Amino acid sequence: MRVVLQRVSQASVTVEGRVTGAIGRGLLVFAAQPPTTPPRTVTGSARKIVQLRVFEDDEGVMNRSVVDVAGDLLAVSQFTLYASTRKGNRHRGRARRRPTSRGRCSTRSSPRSRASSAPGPDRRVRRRHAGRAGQRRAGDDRHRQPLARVRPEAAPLYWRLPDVPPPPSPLARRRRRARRRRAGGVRLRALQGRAVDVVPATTTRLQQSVVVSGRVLAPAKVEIGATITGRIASVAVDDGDRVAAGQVVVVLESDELTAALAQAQSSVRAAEAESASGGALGRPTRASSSRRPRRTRALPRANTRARAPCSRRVHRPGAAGRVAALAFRRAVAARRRPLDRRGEPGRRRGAPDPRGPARDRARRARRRGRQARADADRRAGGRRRARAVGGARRHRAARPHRDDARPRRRDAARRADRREEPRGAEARPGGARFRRRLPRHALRRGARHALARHRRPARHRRGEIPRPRAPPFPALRHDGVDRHRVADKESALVVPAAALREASSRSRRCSCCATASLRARG
Amino acid sequence: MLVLRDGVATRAGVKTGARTSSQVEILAGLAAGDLVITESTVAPGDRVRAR
Repeated sequence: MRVVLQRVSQASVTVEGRVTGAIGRGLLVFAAQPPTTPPRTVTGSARKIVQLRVFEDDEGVMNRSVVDVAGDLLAVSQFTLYASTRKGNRHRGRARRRPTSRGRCSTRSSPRSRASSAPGPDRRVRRRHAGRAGQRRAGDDRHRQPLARVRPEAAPLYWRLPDVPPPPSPLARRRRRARRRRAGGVRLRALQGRAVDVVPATTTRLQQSVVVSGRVLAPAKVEIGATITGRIASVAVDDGDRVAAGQVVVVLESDELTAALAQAQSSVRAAEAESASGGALGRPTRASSSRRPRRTRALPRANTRARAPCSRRVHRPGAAGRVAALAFRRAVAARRRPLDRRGEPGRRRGAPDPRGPARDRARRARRRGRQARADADRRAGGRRRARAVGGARRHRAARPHRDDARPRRRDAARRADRREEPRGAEARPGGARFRRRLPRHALRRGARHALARHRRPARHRRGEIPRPRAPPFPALRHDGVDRHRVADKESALVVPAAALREASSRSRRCSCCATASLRARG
Repeated sequence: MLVLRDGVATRAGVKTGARTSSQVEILAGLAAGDLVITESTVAPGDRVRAR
């Protein structure tokens, strides 16, 4: 099948002086089809013709189909499109098929197209080009050229017509008719425009709920702690429980403390028994007093009550006295040891650390360092001096001279000192704030710049900017759907939101949650 | 808003009411059953048909 299309502002076909077809703006179609043209080809060509976007849109670009511009179609059969002109001057395409019988040409079935079925020579086609006058330059025959050829297999107008096929059987004819009916339907729809998604406006219930995930923030934050360290035996409250002042929240394990108390009490009782009988049996002797633990002298005053009977040196010599003294020593030692180390055997001063000689060395070095620093602090009277490090001046607590206080850099003791001393301002005399734990590389290599950067206090600490405040407690925003005025109407005429074309593309967003605003307009 | 009327996409001025994330209430300008075009590539005046 070969088709030549031309855009026209108007076109007509005159046969023997009688106008047999006329259209306004639209497409003039010259079509020729060999008898063997399958109906699918005809259908496809018809669809192509009506869908071909050769009409200008508002921007002057060929963007719209004849359907889009609501144009007309004038279909004219033109068997000479299959003329053989290669040899001789007379075209040899025999008119094997007389120009179409009704219903053969596909485009004819469209309501808006008019086709001429008249045979050739007398027929006259008049047409006016679709281009506007101003667009055409002199000699510009752009619009004379066919705008498109539909399914032209080759440019030359040459085609050797095959033999006419035998007439189809009745069954085949019926099938073909059915196919054409279907195809006709397709063609009609093609003329009606392209298919778009539509949704009927319906009256229904309009309802929307909002599901938001968020985090609940408390209005105030309180950190609680115990004055002694210990293991937690039980936690009496749950997450989210309401608590009142004075309520028990956490119970610490008291087994060891109770045991220590019992031990102390028993020793007290033993001592009392001793003193009760000792008064009759004799005065305390040198031997018993020398058994009194030396370190009790350093005990805080609170402890004196526990050892009061003992301090009166009422032990009597002999096995009973030794037992009592031993119990007393244990009780005292248990009190003196920190909670978490009770139960371990007490280590005497100077005894080797069971964890190894390195710990031992570290401990000794720590002690030396502490001692030296304490001396230096005493000498400096607690006053601080400014010292420049890496060009920046900052205050640091008086430190003893390197020789007596700071061991060499690689010394295990120094590292241990740095790492194990209590941190924070309260760990340092004078509450100096600048010391922090240094990164390893700063210690190892003595990289001053890294050190300086690490120690540089935050700007708000240097007073350059105000101290950052904690943000005020944000109110819970999603405390109820009412805040959003979520739509809920029993009956409303509803269309999809996608169908609404807003004049402005201003996005309507909820200020607090960035979900699309649901507020009713107006 | 474009409405399909007589095979042509026609502009319809509507008054909107409440809206949800997916739907809009139409207070005026439409009747129940009107076919509303949801595609954005259609221009007013285009000849279209319902899919």
